This record gives sequence, C-alpha cells and structure tokens, in this order.
Amino acid sequence: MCNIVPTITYHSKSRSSLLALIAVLCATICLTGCFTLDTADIHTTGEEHICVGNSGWYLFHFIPLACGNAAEDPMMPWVFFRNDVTMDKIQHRFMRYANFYDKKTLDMSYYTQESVLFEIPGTDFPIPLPYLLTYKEIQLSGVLK
Amino acid sequence: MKRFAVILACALLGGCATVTVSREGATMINIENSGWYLLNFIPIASGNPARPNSCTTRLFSKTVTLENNVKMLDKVIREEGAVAIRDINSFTIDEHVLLILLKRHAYHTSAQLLMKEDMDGAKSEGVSTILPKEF
Repeated sequence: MCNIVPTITYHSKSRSSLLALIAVLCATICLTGCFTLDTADIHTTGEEHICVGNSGWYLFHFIPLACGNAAEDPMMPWVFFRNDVTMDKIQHRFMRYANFYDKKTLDMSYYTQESVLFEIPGTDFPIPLPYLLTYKEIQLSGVLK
Repeated sequence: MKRFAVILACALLGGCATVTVSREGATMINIENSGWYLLNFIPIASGNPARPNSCTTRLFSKTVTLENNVKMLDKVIREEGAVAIRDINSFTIDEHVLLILLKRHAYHTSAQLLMKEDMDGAKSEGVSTILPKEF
C-alpha cells in the first residue's frame, strides 16, 4: 500500500510536466509563426518602403502545422494546417497594397530562411534528424513609387 | 563579481542601432537596429535610433521598426549629400532564447547611395531621386 502513493505521484508529475512541455511547444509554434506588413515613408525621396513577411512551422518539411495568416481579413493571426508561407501569397499581399494606393513597385527582393533540424528556438540542441519539424520564413521587401 | 555579471548581462541584453557606410567603389549603407523582447512581445531594451553607433539603449520601448530604420536612412542620405538612392532592401531576423522567454529581434536595411558623379552613367531607370530639403 505504501508503495502505491509514490508511484501515483510520480505518474501525475510526469504527466503534468509532459502537458506543460506540450503547452510550451504549442505556444512557441503559434507565437513564432507570424504575418507582418511593415511600411515606412522615405521622406527624402517621397516614396514608401514596405516589408512583408510570413513564417511557419512544418511537419516533415511539407505538412504545415501553424503559419502566420496571410489572408486579407484574417479572423486569427495564425492559420493551422494551411500553407501561407509561400512567395505567391506574400507577393499577392504586397501587390494588393501597391495597387490599392496606385503605386509602382521598385527594388523588390526576397529573403528566405529555413531551419530543417528539429531545434526549438532557444534550446540550441538540434536532434540529428532533419526534416522532422522545420521552420520556414519568407520576406519580401520593396519600394513603392 | 556579482556587479560585473549584472553589468555584462545589461550590456549583452542591451539593444543596438548601428549605421555603417562603405565607400569602396560605391556608397553602400547598412542599418541595423536590434532589441530584446520578453515573451515575444514585451520590449525590454532596444537600440536608440536617434543616436546610432553609440552605446545608448531605450528601455521598454519598441524601437526596432522599419520606420525607425528608414528615418536613420533619411538622415544618412542628407548627411552624405546623395542625389539618388537605389536597391533599398530590408529584412528581419529573430533569435529565441529559452523557447519564447526571450527574443532578439533585429531589423536590417541596406541601400546604395548615388552621388552626383554616379548619376552620369546610371540615368533614371530604377533610381529614386532625392527631393530638395524643404520636402
């Protein structure tokens, strides 16, 4: 009888720590997948500089888990199981913005970043098993004239 | 020792705004502003865009923005006396420490400044002309 109590405590402790780990992982995945559209006026040229970016997490490099929502009227900042980290979607938002203000585009350039080793941000502890859980980010920068 | 550790931690966690100009063959400008965030959103310390290349840090204010980088760019354009600018490019880099507890967020902007002598060969196409100062 005396042996049962510590076993139950051990199981409930390990379960709660597992749940905490899953919660932190979910929070990390959600909070680090984000769509951004930054703009700033360049006063010396009278133009506008724009930087559009999106990032997300993938399972086996292809199955999207959580990405920033690139839709024009998003219900939520994130989207699950839909791939929004694509050049098409980011460029579409960029061009929509340019067309809305009836401006011509200039100096467009992409910046992409991929992390294919299973490494949770901040841990610096990659498991040598690539393409299990991957992180992808695409940014498009340009000038509107 | 403890005091030294605190000073070192403050220095490492402090943000930094830097403006670098290279004049080797062409006038290239690179601007970087970085800062630290708690839980992805709460700014702790960021670079001071009003005083780039100095050891000044802004506490609890979000200065790592495209707008601040462009302001620094505007200032350098005027200081360098450029007549036009091209290839403006910006991107961000995020680094996380201890999952989402701490985040280092950096905004990079680069461009080529064109001086009066550069404009003779490279006329107008894809170039943004600098407006007079009154604008």
